[in-house]
Amino acid sequence: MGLTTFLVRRAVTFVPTLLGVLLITYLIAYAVPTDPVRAWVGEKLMNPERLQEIREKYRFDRPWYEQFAFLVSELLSGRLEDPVRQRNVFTELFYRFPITVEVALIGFIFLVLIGIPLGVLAAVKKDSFIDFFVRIFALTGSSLPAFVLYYFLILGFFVYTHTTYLAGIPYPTQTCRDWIGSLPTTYPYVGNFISAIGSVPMFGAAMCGEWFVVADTFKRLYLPGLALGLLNGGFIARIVRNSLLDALGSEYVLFAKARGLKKLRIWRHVLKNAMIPVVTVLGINFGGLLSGAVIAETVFNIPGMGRYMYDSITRLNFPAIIAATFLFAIIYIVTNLVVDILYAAIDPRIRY
Amino acid sequence: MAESLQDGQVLKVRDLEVKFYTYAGVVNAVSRISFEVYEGEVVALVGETGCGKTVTTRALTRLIEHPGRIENGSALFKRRNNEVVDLLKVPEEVIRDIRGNEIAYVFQDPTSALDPLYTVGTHIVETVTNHRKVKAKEVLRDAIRLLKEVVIPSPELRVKNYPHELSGGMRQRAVIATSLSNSPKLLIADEPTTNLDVTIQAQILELLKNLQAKYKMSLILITHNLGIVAEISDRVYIMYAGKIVEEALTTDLYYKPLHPYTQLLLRSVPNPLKRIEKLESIPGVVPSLINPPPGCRFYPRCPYATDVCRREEPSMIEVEPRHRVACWLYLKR
Repeated sequence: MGLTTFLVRRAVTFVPTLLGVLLITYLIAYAVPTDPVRAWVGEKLMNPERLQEIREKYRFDRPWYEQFAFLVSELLSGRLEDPVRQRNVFTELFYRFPITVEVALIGFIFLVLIGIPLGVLAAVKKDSFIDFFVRIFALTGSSLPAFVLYYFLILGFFVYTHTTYLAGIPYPTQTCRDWIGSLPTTYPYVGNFISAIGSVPMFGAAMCGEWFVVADTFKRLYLPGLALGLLNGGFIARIVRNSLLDALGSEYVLFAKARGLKKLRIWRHVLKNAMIPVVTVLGINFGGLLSGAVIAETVFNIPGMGRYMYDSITRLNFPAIIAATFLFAIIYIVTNLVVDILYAAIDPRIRY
Repeated sequence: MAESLQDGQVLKVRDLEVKFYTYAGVVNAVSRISFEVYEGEVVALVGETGCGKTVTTRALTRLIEHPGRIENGSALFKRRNNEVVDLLKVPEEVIRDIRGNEIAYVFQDPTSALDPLYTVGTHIVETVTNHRKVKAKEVLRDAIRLLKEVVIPSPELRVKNYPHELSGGMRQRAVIATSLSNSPKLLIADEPTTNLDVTIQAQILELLKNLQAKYKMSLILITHNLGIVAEISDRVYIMYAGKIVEEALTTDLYYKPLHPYTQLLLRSVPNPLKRIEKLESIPGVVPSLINPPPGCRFYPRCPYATDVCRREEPSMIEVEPRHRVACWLYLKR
């Protein structure tokens, strides 16, 4: 079976998975015994006619499955409206998701930079001080409340040393953004793709050669990135350590030594084998980062997906929740797919 | 101590001692073992599981890993250029160059010995290119020849196969081909058939025997199966609890086993030379190697044990020409 068959088979499961995720999310939201419409409108604008109007618009006078069908059809046709902000949810997502991508990317870089070297060190110096330290580090990362770490980081890097700032997100200049926005019309198909990538401020700036914006982005976002890296880095390090030790203790490595292979060559065998579980965990982590870090975005004042999700949940903003979940589901499906393809590329035992 | 090799010797091991420093205590895995291997000879190292056979052979190229340590001894080896070196003392680069080149191994389990992420061909190619400056392409042609030599059908296709695409027997053949890729002087086969189907075992043994003759190499065969020993080996060393207790030509061993352990061992397996009514097991267990008994290590299980056996360790004596044993039964006389 080739790659195409695999992709087609995956595509077939794609739609039911997405619908299932939407249905479950909707049912959970629907189970909340409250009147969302009141929460949406707010006290200032509240009057019976307006409430009635919104109720009818979102089919709250109909059975749940009609509400759900309405939400899904609006979502898929791209017309779904965020009733709290009173604009299209996609406008909101297109604004926020690129920011989350930036945070996720920087966080991921820190995650890899912290997790992999620490894991390798811990494995090479097994049962030493560094190994012990990594164990404690991983334990702390997974048990420490995230905000505690974040506030300490802010205290150290912002309050005392002013190496970063906590307001706004750097964007490329208006001319640059206009140029990227015009790409789909000048180059059909390819332009759409490039423009989508360019919608991430950092990438857009890089495309226009506005490197100061890129540098600024790192200055603004390295702290949340570092925070996310510190939080999960220990866990990654443990995975790296364990899979390295597994590989180092294996018979094929001993046989490689018995064949007189040079150190570098032996390490190639070790690393390639140890990479398999690490790739999975990193993939899942990246997917997680892309769905936004609620606490980090709140503490570091980043208007990304996590914040949007949090705001929407507190205001019972079902349409926004449905739309964001829809995006998250797509992210997870795609990252899983990428991980599976990487898997097969590394390990010949795995075929599609 | 400037010992030298006698004529025709490839390997001469003296007083080899390996200990493992575990949490439970110091394990005396191999205690002052001495043996030699001649050119073109098949030597069998026989003993129960855990008696130190594998550790002995791995110590030869210093493949002992933490927490194990080679404490003592020498292992003189005659290299391809007729230079005699002590394997236990040469620098790391030299021993690395000897491994897989002049001394090669075949491990017990071919499934775990081959890296699942690399093809059979890659295993052979890297083994060769790590020791000699050759183009990978030429080696690949050589690899096909090697696979043909170990009787793998359609070798042109098989070089591109990953280990999981081969059967167990095929995998062991691939391992043997890999080990032979530098035409070693000494091949160490560590229970090469234990993890294979019974039907395949005989084939692999015959293959090893044929290749040994063809490549004119020496072969150390580790096994616990005396049936295998009778089939292909010229000489036998019997090991018990980290020591060698008897050394003999294969036929002598079967006709006239001297050590009580060897005698009992022969009664516990079908003997190719004698008909035995009933197979017997040896009563008792192998002693702990953390605190081995002070005298003869077989004393607790020995039917002929006397007082002296418990107190003092017997040394190896030559009872008949080329037939040596470590037992008070023969020392007394």
